[in-house]
This record gives sequence, structure tokens and C-alpha cells, in this order.
Amino acid sequence: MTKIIKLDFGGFSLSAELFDTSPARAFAAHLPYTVALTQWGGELYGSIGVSLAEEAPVADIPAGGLAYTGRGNLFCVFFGQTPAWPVEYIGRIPDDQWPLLIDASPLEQVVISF
Amino acid sequence: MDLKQLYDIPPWEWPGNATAIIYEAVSEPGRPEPDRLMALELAGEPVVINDRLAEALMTIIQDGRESEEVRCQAVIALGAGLEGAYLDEVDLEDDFLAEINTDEIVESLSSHLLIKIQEKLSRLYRDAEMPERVRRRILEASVRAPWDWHKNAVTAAYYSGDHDWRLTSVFCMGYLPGFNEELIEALRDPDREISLEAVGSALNHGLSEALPTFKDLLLTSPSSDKELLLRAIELVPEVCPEQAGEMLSSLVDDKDREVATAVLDALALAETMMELDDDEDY
Repeated sequence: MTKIIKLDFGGFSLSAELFDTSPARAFAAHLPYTVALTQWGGELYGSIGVSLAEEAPVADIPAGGLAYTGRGNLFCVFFGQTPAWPVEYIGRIPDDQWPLLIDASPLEQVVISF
Repeated sequence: MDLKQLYDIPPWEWPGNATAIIYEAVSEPGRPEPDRLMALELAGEPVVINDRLAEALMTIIQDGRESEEVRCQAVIALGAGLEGAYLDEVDLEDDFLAEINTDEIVESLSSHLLIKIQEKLSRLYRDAEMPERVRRRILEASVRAPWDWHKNAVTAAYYSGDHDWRLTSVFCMGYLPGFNEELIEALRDPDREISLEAVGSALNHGLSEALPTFKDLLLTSPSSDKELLLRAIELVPEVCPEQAGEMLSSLVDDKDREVATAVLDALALAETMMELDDDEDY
């Protein structure tokens, strides 16, 4: 069963769903996270400080996709960028919400919680 | 005095108008590229960097019409200035360092411009359209005045699996806390370029694990890897000046003149560094 989470970027918040996969459940089990963000093009990323097992990393993530990678324990939000390497696709921000990220940059921090 | 003459003498002997000569050459896009590259190399000397020159370097970095080579060299030139200004900010709060005669500082970046440049470099780094080589140089230069975004950027670069990005990240780790685990791993990396870069960075953080790796690299660098060997020799006075004689003795009479010259230079520098250390002890 999918879980709804909140991404609070400070000035605004977005909701997102976490998939019913093993890595997504492991990610949810450690909520909440406060993540310092760095941007590269249409991607935000930052360390969650927790190592999670990966299951099936993929090379492409659609815009609005949430991902995790064990390389550096990074949480990533994609809104136009292709991942630099295969990452675990763990959830998504609805199509009517993720475009807000494009104009909102630069974003320096996100608090992820239920 | 012209640019070429400046290039041929050490910075501490430069005349008072050196910054103006360099600025003029740097900010004239019509000049031949080799001249501008030479000027940009000189602009990286901490004795000449000031706000005006730094602004000119930023203009070059942001200008997509400039060649990648020129943009990269402009970023590198900014690095030392950023580090100097950052250390001034941090250190001048220290009672001891506040007693240093600041009249001796010839040129430096203002703290206002330091912040402005850091913000701009951060924005340029985020730009996915920026050529990769320029982005790497931006990370390497900007990390000398560390900001929050560097930690994630360096982490991602290290784990990217790309040789050049990993090299950049290991260099940057020397300026950031929190990467000891990665540095120790990098010291053992089979890629010798990575492990040599890790030596300098690890020693910046006082990681003693770096010393045996460094000695091993120096003694076992194959002759085919001359560039790496030269870089290792260059590092000796910085890393362990008191052991320079012992570590370099087998290379003093190397058949390769460039290697032998590098060894002599390193030994001389090591001696100077030890003398400086002795002076400080008094």
C-alpha cells in the first residue's frame, strides 16, 4: 500500500506518494528527515544520513520522481534531469505539483515527514 | 614591464602595478588566447587578487563565448583568492592572528565580494548547461571557501564512478570535514591518481593513514607514470619535509633530467620549510 508523505521546502510544501516497494518502505521507516539540498539542473539531492538496501535501481526517473541511492545515501527529487547513475525509484510528486520546483529554485532544505 | 616579464619573475618581486598589467590582459577578449591564459595563470597569485580582478574573472567564467580552457583557468585563478578571503574572515577573529600587520597584505578580496562570488559560483554549478570541465573547476575552486552545498556536491561526485569527478571530489575533501571514511578508501584506490590526490587531502585532516600510502606511491611509481611521479615528488616537502632526504635519495640521480630536477627542487623546498618550522618554534 502506498504512503503519502509531505515535502516541506520552507516556503511551500508538496505532497508525494511513496511506492509499496521494499526500498520505499525502508525509506518511510526512518522518517522524518531533514535534508540539506544541492541542485543540479532539474534535480535536487541531499544525504539522508541513513544507508538503505537497494533493490532494482533504474537509469531513468520521470519528472516528479523521488529516488534514493546508496552511493552517498542520497535522496533525490527529479524535475527534468536524468539521474547521473541508476537510482532506486521510491515515489512521486503528482504532476500538478512538481512543476512548482522549477521556479522555486534554489531550495536549500527539505523536511520529509508523514 | 609586460606580462611575459612578470611571468618570468617570482610574484614576491612583482612591481606595484602587477595587478593592473594582469587585469588589462585578462579583460581584453581580443587578445591571443595564449596571452590570456598566461595572464589568468598569474591572476591566481594571491598577491594580486583584488575585487576588480575577481569581477573580471567572474565575467569570463559566466561568458559562454569564451573557450572552455579560458573559463577553466579563470575559475582556477579565483580559487586562491577565495581561500585567502575566507581564511581572513575566519582567522581575523582569532586574537593571535588579529595581531598580524595587515598592512603587509598587498591585495585581497572584500568579504562582500566573497559572498557574492560564492553565490554566483553556486548558481553556475547548478546549471546543467555548464560544460562539465568548467563545473568541476567551479567545485574545486569554490570549496576553498566552503559552503553548505559543497558536502552534497562532493558526495555525489565521489560516488559518480567517473574518474574525473572522483578526482575532483577527493581534492575537495581536503577542504571539508566529514569525509575521513571516503578518504581512507580513496587512499587504497587502485587508480593511482586518485590515491595520490587522497594523500594531500587526508594529510590536510591529519589522517596518518596517508603517509604509508604516499611512501609506497613514491617508491613504486613506474617510470611510465612520470606525471604522477612528478606530482608525488612535488608533494614531499609539503607532506613530510623532515623525511624528504630519505624518501627522495633514490631519485636524486634519476636518468630523467626532469625527475632529477624536481627532486632537487623538492629537497631545497623541504629544507626551507624545516627552517621556517624551526623559526616558528623560537
